[in-house]
Amino acid sequence: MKYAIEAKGLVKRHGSVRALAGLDLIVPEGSVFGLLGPNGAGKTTALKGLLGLARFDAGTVSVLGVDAADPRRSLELRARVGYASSDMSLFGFLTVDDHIELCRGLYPSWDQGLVQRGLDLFALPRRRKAGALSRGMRGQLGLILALGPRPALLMLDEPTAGLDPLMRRAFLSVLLGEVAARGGTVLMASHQLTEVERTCDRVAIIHRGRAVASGGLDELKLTRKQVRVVLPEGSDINLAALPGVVSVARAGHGFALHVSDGGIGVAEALGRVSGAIVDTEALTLEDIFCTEVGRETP
Amino acid sequence: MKVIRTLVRKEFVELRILGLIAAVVLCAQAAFLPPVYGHLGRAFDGMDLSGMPGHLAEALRSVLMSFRAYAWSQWYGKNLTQVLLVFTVLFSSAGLAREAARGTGEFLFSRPVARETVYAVKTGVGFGLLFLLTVGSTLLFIVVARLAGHDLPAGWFLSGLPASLAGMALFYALAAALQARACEPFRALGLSVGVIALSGLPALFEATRAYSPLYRMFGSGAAPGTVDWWGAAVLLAGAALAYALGRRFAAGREF
Repeated sequence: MKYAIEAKGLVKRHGSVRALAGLDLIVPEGSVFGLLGPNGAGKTTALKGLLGLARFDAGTVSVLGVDAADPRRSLELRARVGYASSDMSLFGFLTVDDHIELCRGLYPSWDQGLVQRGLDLFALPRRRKAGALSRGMRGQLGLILALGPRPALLMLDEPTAGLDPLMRRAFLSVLLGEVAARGGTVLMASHQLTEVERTCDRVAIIHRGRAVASGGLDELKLTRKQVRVVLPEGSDINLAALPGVVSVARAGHGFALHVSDGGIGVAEALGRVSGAIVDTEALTLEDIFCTEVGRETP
Repeated sequence: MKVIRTLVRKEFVELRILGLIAAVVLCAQAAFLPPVYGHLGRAFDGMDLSGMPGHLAEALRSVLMSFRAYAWSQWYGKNLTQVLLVFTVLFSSAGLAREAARGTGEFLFSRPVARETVYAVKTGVGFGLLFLLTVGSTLLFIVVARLAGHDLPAGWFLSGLPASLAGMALFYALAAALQARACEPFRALGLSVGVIALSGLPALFEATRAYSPLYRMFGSGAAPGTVDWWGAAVLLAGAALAYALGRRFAAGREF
């Protein structure tokens, strides 16, 4: 399998704060990859570093086969990567058309036909200055500008923040339609777990600057499960010590166990305990996310 | 070249309002200063200078009674240079610190364009605009002076420009370098003003006056009507150093 991104042991400090503390990230080519994490987990720092906007203090990183830490190859890399972020400001004094002209002049492989289709789809007012566009319109323009150079890798940081659900769906359908058609790779940092669940085929959950879980979404859902256990009266089994158990919480008369082996270890161990009730349930991505970052869902 | 053209166009659009204001201010000064001389001369004619020491009265008389001396001192020694210093700081404030503060640095540098290229274009466009406005308004001054019937040879008067432009280059390069280094544009702006003020300190003392960049920029480094080549050369060398420093800051900056 070829990888669009291979990062190992990435470290980034902002003064005394460690934004990344040894992040490992493997993004296969052609995948739609979701980068999940709570606020301050290091998602934005990771994306900026991969793009050369910030420099890592330690670690190795290859993006599209290029050493992303090498400033001499940064231009070559950025010519093949599209980037859009909800925090990224457009030039308030430039119109929609001016932005397109600006980006067109910077990329050798600009696809004006693709941009035109995006403009038509979102019906953006081309002569309006970016400062007078709504947040949703600015997001749409940002996406169009990121897709314009037909990037081999599209990096998106909270791309749909501030958009209503209808717009969010339209946004993602354009994105996936265009990129999937070309076999490109998408790396998307997002808080919208349902959106990631619907669009991504692989995810990584990062917490305090490290990846705490990563892999195919289906594989994660197959292995990360919740097991409800009711033990017989007087049983003194230490559930936290059973194979595959990530966390244990009280739930009614029994316990809710989050496991990372699909529940096989717990089922085998408690299968020998007479009177124990074991019920395995699938988890949503949100459940997995909350478990991995150490917070329980209500 | 396409990248440069694209960036130059963006900088022109960004600086257009400020450029227009600078043009209006400089042209207004160039258009009004020569005719004002006639009124000053008449006022001076009736002035009682008997209470003033003889040599001072003579010096004052020679300045005010000669249009050339008046033109030189008012244009290079006052109006042009003051306006240039103000607009140098304001123009340079459209630098990298502002791009970072408003979030457009992320937009710009996530594209295939080098920080050094953007820095060069930003500095070049801002300085270039001020250069053109300075030369244009100085030529306008000469034209208006001649229309008002004054004797002002173009070559004689333009000899003040090299020191003035070299001083502007130095302060522009310093202000741009501070913008490339600072995390916040207003801090860089404040530092730029501080640097300009400090550069004027040597002018307060007779012994060190000639070493003040401001003194040289104000056209006092050589006699009126002569080019201050040494001053201009040193100021330009300082500008080149400041530019190189700013370029280094820009290359290492994160967004």
